[in-house]
Amino acid sequence: MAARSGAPLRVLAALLGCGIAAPLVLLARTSFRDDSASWTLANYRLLTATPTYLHVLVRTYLISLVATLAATVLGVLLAVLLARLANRYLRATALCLVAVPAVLNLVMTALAWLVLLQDRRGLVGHGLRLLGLPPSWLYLTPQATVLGLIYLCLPVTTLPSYVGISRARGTLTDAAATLGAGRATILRTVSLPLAAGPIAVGAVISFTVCVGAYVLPETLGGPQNTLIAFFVQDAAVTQFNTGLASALGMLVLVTALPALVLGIGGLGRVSSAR
Amino acid sequence: MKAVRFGVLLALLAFLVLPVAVVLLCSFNPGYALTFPPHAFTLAGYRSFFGNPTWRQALAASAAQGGGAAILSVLLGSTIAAAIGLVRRAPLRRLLLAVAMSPMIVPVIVFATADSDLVSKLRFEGALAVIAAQAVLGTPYVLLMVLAASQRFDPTLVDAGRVHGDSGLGVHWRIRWPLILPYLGVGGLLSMAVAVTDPLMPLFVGAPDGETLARKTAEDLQNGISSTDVVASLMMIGLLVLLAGAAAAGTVGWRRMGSRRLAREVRAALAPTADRAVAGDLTEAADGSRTM
Repeated sequence: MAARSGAPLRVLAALLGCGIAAPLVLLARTSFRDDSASWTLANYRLLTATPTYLHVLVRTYLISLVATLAATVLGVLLAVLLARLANRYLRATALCLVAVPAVLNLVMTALAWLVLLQDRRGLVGHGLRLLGLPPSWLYLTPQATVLGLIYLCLPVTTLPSYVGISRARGTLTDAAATLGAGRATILRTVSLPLAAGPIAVGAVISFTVCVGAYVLPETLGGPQNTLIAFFVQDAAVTQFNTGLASALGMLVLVTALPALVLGIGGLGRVSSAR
Repeated sequence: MKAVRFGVLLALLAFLVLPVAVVLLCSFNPGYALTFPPHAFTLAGYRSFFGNPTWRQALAASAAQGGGAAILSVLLGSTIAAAIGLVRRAPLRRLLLAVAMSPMIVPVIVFATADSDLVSKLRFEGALAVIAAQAVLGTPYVLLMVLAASQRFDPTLVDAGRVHGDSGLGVHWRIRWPLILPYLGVGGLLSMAVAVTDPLMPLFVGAPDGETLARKTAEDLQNGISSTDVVASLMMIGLLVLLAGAAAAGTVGWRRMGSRRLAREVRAALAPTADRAVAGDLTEAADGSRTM
């Protein structure tokens, strides 16, 4: 047995090692190096000495949590509605529309929302007034960032939920219906528990999308609401400080590790437990 | 109740499509600002996009690098899926799958920083590095699709092929591959969407002048967005829609061609011995089973 899986294991080790492990190991190494390539803790000392980074990190996780929760709730709602569509062509079209945020690049997504949100006499302004909120509630505020992140994450939460919910249909939901359960009861006691795995995976992926989001948060939220990815990009591209950028990258990687382990474990289970 | 459900669905779908509609309308705006609603109609943005060699080169680079990354990720994804399928121990299989999926989970900015480090150590900056880095980002999508395909794959079909005298390789090409192909196509398209719209990898591991549409648009964000950038974003969408259409047409055409060949083979095999009516039925059945 072990001998037979030797060759595939070597192939896997080579591919995953080059593509995934090598860059991440190097990232960790560079974060402990200075310009003259000697070992140092200076990058991390700079991180702990600058309170901005800690504030931004906390803000990043708070905003990501709120956006992920909202995107998951909306995604499950959308998935349930999609699964109920009887016409398969209509359903296919709607599923294609769900993928739309994936084909629009980030810069334009951010600017399009900015244009929509700053138009106080337009759709958004009227809507806010109807809800009793000031028309500037969604312009350069954390709420605007959350809205943009929800938009970005909606396909990520909807599509796995849809797969889970439509897979849960069939004999089990029929059995529940035969036993006299209403549609809402079936959804609550059969479909959603069966789809819990894919829904959770979608939520974790959307959380990491939020934590790593750049361009969109600073465009919609304004300069006082930037998230951590902006500082990584700033250190690497604007300041050419790869050591600092790597240390910031490690900071994100290490603090997000619980979510990543949860998500990676969940993905492995959902896609291999068949 | 049904009307409410449909209304909520429409509202959510409108939320998803709204920014693309804004971008489309703004591409006809004159001047250098995004304003909504647009106050005039002009094709100036389109003219300056296609009139500028830098943008045309960026378009070509986006198409080439996006296509390259998609092809590479399809190769990587199917190889990894096949190799993982051969690993016997379940916990090890799960761990390897988890590692292979991790580019989907680890924030792109972390990978971009790490890759830029690796690439500058190897002195490998340029289009090939971008293709490789983006292929790694797209591989989990292909892997997910292959796993979904193999879940629906009926293993008795392979046995049936072997029983009827096809070789192992023949079974692979004639049965397994056509059934998995559409899933690979969708995985490749998703990975291409990631590659075309991502400005970070060209910025972090590309050559200093290695502009792609996404990177140039991201750089223009600092200097002020013009209607040319808006047109560039539409070109990225156009690129993806074009390729999705080509992939769909290719898959359908390929399957139809395959079914015709199968029908011909059945007819040739049956003609001398069997009654014509039976041969007709069987070729029809073969046609039907392939085009379904």
